[in-house]
Amino acid sequence: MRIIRETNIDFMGKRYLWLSISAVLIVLSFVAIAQKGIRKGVEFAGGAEVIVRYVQPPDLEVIRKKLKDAGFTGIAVTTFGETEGKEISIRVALERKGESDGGSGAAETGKDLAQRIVEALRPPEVTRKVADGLLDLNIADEVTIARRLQDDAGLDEVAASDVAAAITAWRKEHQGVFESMEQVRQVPGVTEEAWAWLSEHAFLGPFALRGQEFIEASVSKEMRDKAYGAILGALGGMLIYIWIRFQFQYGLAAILALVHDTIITLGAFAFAGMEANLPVVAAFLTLVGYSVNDTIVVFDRIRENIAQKGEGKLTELINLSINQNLSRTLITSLTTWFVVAALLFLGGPVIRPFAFVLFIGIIVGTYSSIYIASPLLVAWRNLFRAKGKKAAARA
Amino acid sequence: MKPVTWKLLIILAVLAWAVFQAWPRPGRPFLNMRLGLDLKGGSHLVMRVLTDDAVKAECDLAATRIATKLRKEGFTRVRASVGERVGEVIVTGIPADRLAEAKARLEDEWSTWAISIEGDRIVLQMPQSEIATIRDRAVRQALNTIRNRIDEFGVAEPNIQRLGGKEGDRILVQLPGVEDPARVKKILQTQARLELRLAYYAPDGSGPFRGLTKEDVIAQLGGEVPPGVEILPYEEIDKKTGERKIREWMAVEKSAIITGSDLQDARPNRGQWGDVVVSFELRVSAAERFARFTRENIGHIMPIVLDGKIRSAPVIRAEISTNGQIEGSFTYEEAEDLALVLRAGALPARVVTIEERTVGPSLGWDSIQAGIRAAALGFILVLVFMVIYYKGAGINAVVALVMNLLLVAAAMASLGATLTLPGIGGFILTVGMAVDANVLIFERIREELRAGRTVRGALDQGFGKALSAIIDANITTLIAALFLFQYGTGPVRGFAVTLSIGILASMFTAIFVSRTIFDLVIGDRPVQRLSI
Repeated sequence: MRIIRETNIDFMGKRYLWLSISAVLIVLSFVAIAQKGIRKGVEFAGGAEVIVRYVQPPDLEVIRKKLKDAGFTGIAVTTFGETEGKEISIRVALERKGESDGGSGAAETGKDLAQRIVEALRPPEVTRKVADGLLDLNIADEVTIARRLQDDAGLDEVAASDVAAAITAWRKEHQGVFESMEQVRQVPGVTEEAWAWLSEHAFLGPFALRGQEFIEASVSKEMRDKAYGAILGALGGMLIYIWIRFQFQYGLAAILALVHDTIITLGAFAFAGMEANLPVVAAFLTLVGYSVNDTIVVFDRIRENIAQKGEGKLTELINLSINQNLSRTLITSLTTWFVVAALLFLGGPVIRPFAFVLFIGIIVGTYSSIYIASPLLVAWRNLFRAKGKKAAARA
Repeated sequence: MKPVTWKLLIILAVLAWAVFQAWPRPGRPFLNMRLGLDLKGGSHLVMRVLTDDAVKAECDLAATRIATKLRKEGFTRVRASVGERVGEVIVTGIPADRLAEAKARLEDEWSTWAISIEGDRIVLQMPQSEIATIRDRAVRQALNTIRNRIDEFGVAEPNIQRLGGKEGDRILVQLPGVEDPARVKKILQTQARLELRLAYYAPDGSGPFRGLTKEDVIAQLGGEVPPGVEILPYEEIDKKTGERKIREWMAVEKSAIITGSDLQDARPNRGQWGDVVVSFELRVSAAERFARFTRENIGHIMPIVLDGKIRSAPVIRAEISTNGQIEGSFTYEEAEDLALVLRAGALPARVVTIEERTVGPSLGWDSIQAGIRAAALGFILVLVFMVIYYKGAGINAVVALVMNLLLVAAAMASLGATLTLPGIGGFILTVGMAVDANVLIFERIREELRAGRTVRGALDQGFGKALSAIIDANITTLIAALFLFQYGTGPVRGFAVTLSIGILASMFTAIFVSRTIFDLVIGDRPVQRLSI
């Protein structure tokens, strides 16, 4: 089977059209970045994030109000992933405290932050139950459950830890929450003896704590700087490598194409309102590697054709090289795009921004290796030919 | 043997190695790979050691020695204290006409320090090299202590390492399976500098000096704190509210009779009235010293100072040799944790958490599920596409791809690399990229066939000519991965490792393995058509 027959498309003829389209896209990207900004995740913004899973979809306004009443600042509450609104991400700013106040400082703030958020979110009747010594089976960790079963329910140590392990294993596979006490009773491994105590002394709070993150401002700044450094460093590395393997103008053309890809993808990222986290930086670096890969394959062909046919008509040679490579370019982009699409739609909320960058980036990168990198080569040649002519005229 | 037989043997050997490496082991069900904290669940902490503390402690010692020396030399009213700047000691109370003399006296013993006269004071500055050494030592000690504490706490497969080399003041602590990082952080951050000291008694035997405020105590001392004495808060925990508050202040000798390093053991216990205490036992060497000291000081108060705060202030009633206890309204868990940190040793400086990432087990589980589902779907899509598009050669590519995945898993397992969620992304991206090399070759073969070459000629040309493009393209991706590895911590590093291994493996599978398969299928037969 073949999608693409032997083609003879005049890619270079309309190069000014394509360069203009790219210029417009780049401007639009800058507008999107300036207008909407790039949303920063905790890693880059600093602060604390807690991911909470509710049994019933909660009212986000109520949550915001509770947090505000509890004295938190910089509050951002959003739903997280495709969970019918049951899973929410809570972002709060870190309180500023010097390091001088007896070792507490920033450490103290982060130490019980998650607990303080949990306490702030609890409805009064749950707080009362906890104060009365009842065990919240959606919050308690394995060690706590085991200890209570041993100390209060009178189970022996092995039995208590077995039951606790069974309960936490069940939670692990069910998004961390029990919806009814009946589910607790049904958990394989919960013995009659344990259930007798649990049914009396345990209850189900309205939510479970799924994860937490805490990044001090100095660290987030460092991560931002390092992210920029890594992307710039990778671009520089590419330039040097292609320069060595080909010629300087090839390297330059490839890098300009890469910058083009990066800006447009970043623009799309800002436009979609995605949130930048560490894997997103990884995705951008991968994009840089992937997109240049495509460009190089075309350049390799150009080099080969020049070796065979001489540099005479560069524009035609480039056209020929792109046409010869077209099916390969499209097919590899397509296969990679398949897997990235799978990640985007099935990979879960954590990996989604990562997949999004590659999803857009592969399209832009494929386009740029055909329509941007190669015309730039011609532009470079023309520039120097023009200079050469001028120099000759002067002499 | 024919060359192709050799090649086949090499491939089978590699395959056998890969299957062996990637075979699931107990505790590592996922192709024998170690799972990252973001998949398994657990806590990732980065702690900073406030090394200024250690420098300050060292300066404190120097200040005491400086004051003692000058007093011996006849400067009776001299005082030495730690200055504002790091590594600075300031000497005051020297008559203006004797400043130069005092400076000369100090220069003998503190020859490496920069000593200058500023107004009516002498300022001594510790050399930078010594400060660097103290900082480095503090971080190394902290690393050791943190390791001990984690061991005592009992976490399976922890990863504890110093970040940033010899200059670095950060310690990375990765704790798989820890769900409640608050408690661990508290344990790690407690400095646990335990000291048994003596309350200050004036030369005339009066004392102790205690009062509701610091100023009150200073007033009792006659407006000035004697050298070698400091005023410390006595903290108490309100049993009802659980809040800490200062009960009183007390003048205490600076030098300690017993420190944490003299402890043989520490355990939580029930005290006389059923309250929770931490009881400790001293090493034999310290026990003798302690016995003599307590015998000589019966009736005096011996405050137990923990991290610069008095936790209890018992009166010495009898000679004590090996056993003692710390009282002070603990919960049982707090007593357990205090005993743990006392056993594991003190931190040379305060430690604060600057970065924390905790993934609960259920979130990690969801990530694995979603990651695997996405990877499987992506993989199947690529395989189906390849077989439809390239028919026979597509099957060849599929074999190469499957082997590629197996090799990546095996290499990661044998290197002890960690699979993270972005790593799963890298895994699946490898599939998309590995197929690139196959596509390059296959397209080239088709082109050569169209140009009228024989099957065998087209194969040779296709593999030969595609090689330079494959190598160049992959090396640039490796460059990107290298920067990624430099940049990232944890999950992102996992991605960079997975991607790099995937690229290297894909060069082997697409070039070597695919070629061998073609050779095997075609053999010596004169083939007219190639399914491609």
